[in-house]
Amino acid sequence: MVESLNLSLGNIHNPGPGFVPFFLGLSLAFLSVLAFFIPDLRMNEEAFWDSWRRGKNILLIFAGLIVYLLLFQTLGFLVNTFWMIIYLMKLAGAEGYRKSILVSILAMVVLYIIFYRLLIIPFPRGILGI
Amino acid sequence: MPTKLLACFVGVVIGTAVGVLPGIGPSGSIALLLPLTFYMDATSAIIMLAGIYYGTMYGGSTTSILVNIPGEAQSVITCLDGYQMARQGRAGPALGIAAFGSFIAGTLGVIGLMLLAPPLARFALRFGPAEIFALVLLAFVLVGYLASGSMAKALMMAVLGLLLACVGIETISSRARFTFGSLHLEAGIDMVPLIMGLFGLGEVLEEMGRKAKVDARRYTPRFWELFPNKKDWRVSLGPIGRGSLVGFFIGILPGGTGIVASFSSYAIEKRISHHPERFGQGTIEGVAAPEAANNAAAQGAYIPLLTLGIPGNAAIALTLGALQIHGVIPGPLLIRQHPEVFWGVVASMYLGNILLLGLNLPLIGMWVRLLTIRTHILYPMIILFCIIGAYSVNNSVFDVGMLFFFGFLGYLLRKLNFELAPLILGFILGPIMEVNARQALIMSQGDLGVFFSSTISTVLLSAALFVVLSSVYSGMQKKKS
Repeated sequence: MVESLNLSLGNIHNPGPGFVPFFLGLSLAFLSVLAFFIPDLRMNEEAFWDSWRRGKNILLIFAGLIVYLLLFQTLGFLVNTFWMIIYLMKLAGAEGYRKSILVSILAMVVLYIIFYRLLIIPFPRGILGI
Repeated sequence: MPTKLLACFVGVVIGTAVGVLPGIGPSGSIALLLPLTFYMDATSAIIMLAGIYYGTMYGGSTTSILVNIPGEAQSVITCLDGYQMARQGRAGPALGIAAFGSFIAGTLGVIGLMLLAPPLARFALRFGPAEIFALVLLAFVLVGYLASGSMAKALMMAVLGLLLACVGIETISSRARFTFGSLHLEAGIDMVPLIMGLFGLGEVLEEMGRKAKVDARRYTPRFWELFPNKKDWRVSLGPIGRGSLVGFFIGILPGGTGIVASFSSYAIEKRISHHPERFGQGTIEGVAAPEAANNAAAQGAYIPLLTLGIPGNAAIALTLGALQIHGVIPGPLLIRQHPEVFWGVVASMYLGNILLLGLNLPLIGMWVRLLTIRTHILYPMIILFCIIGAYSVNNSVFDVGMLFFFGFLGYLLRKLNFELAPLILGFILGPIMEVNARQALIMSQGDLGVFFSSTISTVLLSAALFVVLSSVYSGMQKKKS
């Protein structure tokens, strides 16, 4: 809302670029207040925290994805994706490393053929040059 | 032509697979395949995406009947009678009537689409900015009204989507806000990571949080058991017909998804039945009606898109996005300017329904086997696909970051029981609504009366007001009791 005030707000008869965002912010604030005060609209807090604890996996996945993002340019797409798939497979409940590595290598080969050779998408190559 | 046939085939195959697999919905899979459509022409793109959409309507019933787990949300109601039938050893007729009912309703839906869309488009030519603004406003209100959860939450999501749409445009070029064509393009570029994150990544994350194993083979019938007998047909034809009609018209409404259609038609059948007590005990009408309804709704949903350029639900909004990326702007002029797109879609739907019947009945065992794919292989692959998709649109790492951000946001919102469809609708309809509201005001030189100057917009706006008032009223009634 503050952002939209910086854009020229205009008036209702001659709206500027910030006119719509301002009123959207206003209505979102109004609806949140509404949802907060009407008791049956409030979410079940118990259930939320319960699923939160079970969702610890999700946090680990996200930590992994953020690391993935940071290393995207340095490691290059293929190398970076290689460890990420193994990591995700472990989190999703794969047993043993051998299968994860096998799947990951297979995915790499397919990716290389489709995206590097056929579609030629300029993925970052990274320090290893692949 | 062969590429379009291939697009149709690929679409319905993926649609059925997605329909069978619980957890991955049509919106998510359309989002996943969106980048692939960049390499096709506009007609093939919409043919494939449409195939996915109505394909899921077929596939969704399979797991509902065999394992009591709905493959998709619109098949929830099929569990009630479908699974009971399976337990009584009648899984074959249940699956059979679901597929035949879907086929009949789907075909009727296409005929309806073919007959209704051109006159509607001609009528829509009379729509000016004020009318379109009124229509989009009505669409938002209806989305909130038809939402399965609370209206305030659905509207919050819609507003959030509108806000996101504003950000997308302003960061790129605030001047582009006043030019029509490039504005859509710019909103479309940001759309892929947003949608892939919210639907693709978000859905997978939610599924990874829980663990479930299903044994679907117990009730899987053989091919010759799939055909319903004469009595089954006699009692099912009525429900299929009524389901098609109800589903089709609910599909046309904004926010009227297959879920609403299947629940409504089930409720109607139960009310007019001579034996309402049999519903829930494994009666074949309880499978035929909702399965017909959600298929008819899937076809009906294309009417507002192809005639007005206004999508009624998330999956259709994604299709609109795909068309916009190709520079085809759906609207009243689409049928005239791009007849090949419109008639291509209609033709592909006839064909797609036949393909789906062929795919679903003899190959049911194969689809059931799909359920045994290990999720720890499937889900990382979907995440990988999201990453590639988000990256390849602009070749930008920033978009991958956006994807992760929206994935996490989508996961949180799901966990908090927010619906994501209104958000996408807000994101896509927002620019349409804003531009039309401002154009109307500019044309009228700031006079707000422009929104009531024509009969069409006055009717639309009063309808919107009526929906809001009636839902507030019924909410207050509920509180009293």
